[in-house]
Amino acid sequence: MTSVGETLRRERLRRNLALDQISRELKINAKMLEAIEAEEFDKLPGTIFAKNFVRQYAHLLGLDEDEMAAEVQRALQPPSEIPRFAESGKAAPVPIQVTPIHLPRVEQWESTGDRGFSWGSPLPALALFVVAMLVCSGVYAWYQRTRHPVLAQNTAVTEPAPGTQSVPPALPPAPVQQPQVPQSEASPPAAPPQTQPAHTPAVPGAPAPGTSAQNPPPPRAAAAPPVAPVTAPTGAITVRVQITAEEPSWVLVRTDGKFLFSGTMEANQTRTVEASKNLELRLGNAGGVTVVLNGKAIGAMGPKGQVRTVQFTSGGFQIVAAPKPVPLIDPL
Amino acid sequence: MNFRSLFSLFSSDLAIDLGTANTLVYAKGKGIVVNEPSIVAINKNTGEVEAVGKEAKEMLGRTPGNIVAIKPMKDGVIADFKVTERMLNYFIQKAHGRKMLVHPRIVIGVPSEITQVEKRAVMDSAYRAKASEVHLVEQAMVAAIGAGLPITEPSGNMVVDIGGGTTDVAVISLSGIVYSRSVRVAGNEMDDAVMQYLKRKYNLLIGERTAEAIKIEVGSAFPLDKPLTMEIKGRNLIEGVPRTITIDDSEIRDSLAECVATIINAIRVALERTPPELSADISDRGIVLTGGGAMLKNLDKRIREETGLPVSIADDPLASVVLGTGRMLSDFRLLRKISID
Repeated sequence: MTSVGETLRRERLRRNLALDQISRELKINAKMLEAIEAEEFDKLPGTIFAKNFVRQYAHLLGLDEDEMAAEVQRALQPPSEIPRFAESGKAAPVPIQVTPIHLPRVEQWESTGDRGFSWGSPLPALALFVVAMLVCSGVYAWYQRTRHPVLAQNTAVTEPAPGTQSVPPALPPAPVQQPQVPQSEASPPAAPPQTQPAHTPAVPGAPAPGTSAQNPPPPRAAAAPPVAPVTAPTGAITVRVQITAEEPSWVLVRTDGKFLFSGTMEANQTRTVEASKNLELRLGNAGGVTVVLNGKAIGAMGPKGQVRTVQFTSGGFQIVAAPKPVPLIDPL
Repeated sequence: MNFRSLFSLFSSDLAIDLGTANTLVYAKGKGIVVNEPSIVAINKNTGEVEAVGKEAKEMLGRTPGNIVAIKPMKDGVIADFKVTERMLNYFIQKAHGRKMLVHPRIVIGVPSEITQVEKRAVMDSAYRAKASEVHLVEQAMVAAIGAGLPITEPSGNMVVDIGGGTTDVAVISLSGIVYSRSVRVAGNEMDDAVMQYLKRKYNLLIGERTAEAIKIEVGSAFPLDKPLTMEIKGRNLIEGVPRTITIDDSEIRDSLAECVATIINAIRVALERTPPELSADISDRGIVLTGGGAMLKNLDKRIREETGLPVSIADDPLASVVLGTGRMLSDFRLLRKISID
C-alpha cells in the first residue's frame, strides 16, 4: 500500500494539476502541500492542521478523505494520541488507538465510563472511607493518651499554688504529705533546693496528694511541726516564721535570698516558712499581719496599710527601712 | 491536593458546555457522559419538571396546554435562571449516577462577550446545583483546546466556534486570548431564518424542530457539488391545512445567507484586529471551525473563499468545547491561567 503523500502526488499528476493550482483552490501554502506530499508532517503547524489539510487535499482530488486523514492520524499518532486520551487515563482501551478519530471515541468513553463506576469505584471508595475512619480514631486515641499525663502534671503543678498561698497551714492534707514527701526527698537532701520544687511533682509521679511537694520540706524538720512547712531545706533550720494574717495582706517571702512565694493572704490564714540563715518578708499591710519568730510572738511589724520589709535571722529581726514609699513618692 | 484526590473517589469533577442548543457534560476519567438538548419540559400546574433533554426535545412544540417545553438558554446565556438551575441539577445528577458524596468542581464554558450579570447567573445556578467550586472559561479558548490547537505555543491560532446561540471568534496565542469577539448569530438564528423564509415565500409555517432538521439536511453556505432537495411538511398559512412542499438547497442557502454573512463579517473584523505577527501565523495555519454550526455544508469552503485562508474543521465539532473544558479538569494550572472569574 502506498503512503499518503505518494498517493496524493500520483493522483495530482494523473489529473495534471500543479501544486500552485491546488494551493490557490485550498488557500493552503504550496510549501505545506509539498511537505504533505513528502510526508514531512512535522513541517506542518500541528496535528489537526496536518490532518485537515490532507483531508481537504484528498477531497479536492476525489480521493477517500477519511481514509487519508486516518492514515495521517496514524502517522502522527504519538504526539496526537497521548494528550487526546490523557484524561481518560489507563481506562482508555487499546483498540481506540487504532480506530481513527471522531465518533467511536465518544462511545468508547461512555462505555468505559459505565464499566468504570458501576462496580469498580464505590468499593474501594468505601474501603478507603473505613480506613480513614480507623486512622482518625487511632490518632485521636493516641492524642488523648499523650495528653492525659500532661494534664495530670498540670494539675499537680497548679493545685499547690493556692494551697501554699491561701491556706498556709494546710492542716488537713499536711499529715498525709509528710510521710510521703520526705521519702522521696530523703535520698537527695543536699540537692539544690530551688531546682527541686519544680521537679518533684513530676518525678514521684504521685500527682494528687503530693500537692505541697512543690515546697518540699526538709527531711529532718518534716516530722516536727504539725503544720505544713514551707521552706527549702538547706542545712539546719534556724529561722522559722509563722505568719498569721488578721486582715487580707499581700506577702512576699524570700528564704536565704531565694524567692519562695508571694501572694495575698486572706484574713485568719496562717503560714509557716523556714530558712537556714535569713528570711526576708515583705508585707503589703504590715499592721494586718502578726509574725511569730521561732515560737516567739513579735506582733505586727508596723501600722496598718504600710509596706514593710523585714529581715529575720535566728537571733532576731530587723525592719529594713520601708523602701517602697520613697521611690513611689519621688517620681510623683 | 491530597484531599482532592481523595474526594475524587467520591465524586468526579465535571466539565460542562452549557450551550444554547445542547448541553454536554464531561466527567473526569469517564469522558462525555451527557449530550442532550438544553430543553426542559415543565408542568405549569404543578411546577414540576416533566422531562429534560432528549425527552423534552421530543415534546418541543407538541405539548398539551399544561406542559411547556422551555429552552432556558438564549444567545449563549441564561434566560431562565430557575429552569437552568433545574436542568443543570438534572445533568449533574445524571453525570454522577448515584454517588455524589462530595460536591464536584465544575468548569463551565461561557461565551466571551458575556456580561457580569450573565456570568453571575451561570455561576449561581451551578452553585445551586451543588457544585463546590465553579470556574468559568471562555468558550472560544476551550474550543481551541478541544480541537487540539497548539494554543500554548507563541503562535497565532484562530478559532471560530459556531454554537447554538453565539459565534465566538478568537485569536489565541500563548494560552491567552489576543482578540475575541462574540456575535449572537449562530445555529438558532439560522433556524429562525429558515422559518421566516418559508413563511414569507411559501406561506408555510414550520416549527423549530423542522427548521433545524432542514438546516442540517439541506442547509449550506456555498453551492454544493450535487444539489439536494427535501420534502417539508407544515401548515399553510392561507389555507390553514397541512401541506407538503419540496425545496432545494439553493433556497435554503438564500435564507441562511444573512446569518452566514454576519459570521464571516465577524471573522473579517477579527482578522483586521489581529497583530501582524499573528496574522502571519494564521495565514499559514488558517482558521479552525468548531461547534455545531461548523457542520453547515460548505461553510468552510465559503470562509476559505471569502478570506483566502485555509479553513479546517475540528474532528468532533459538537464536542470540542466540552472536550477542551474537560481537558481543564486534569490541568488545573492551565485552568487557573485561562479562568475568567
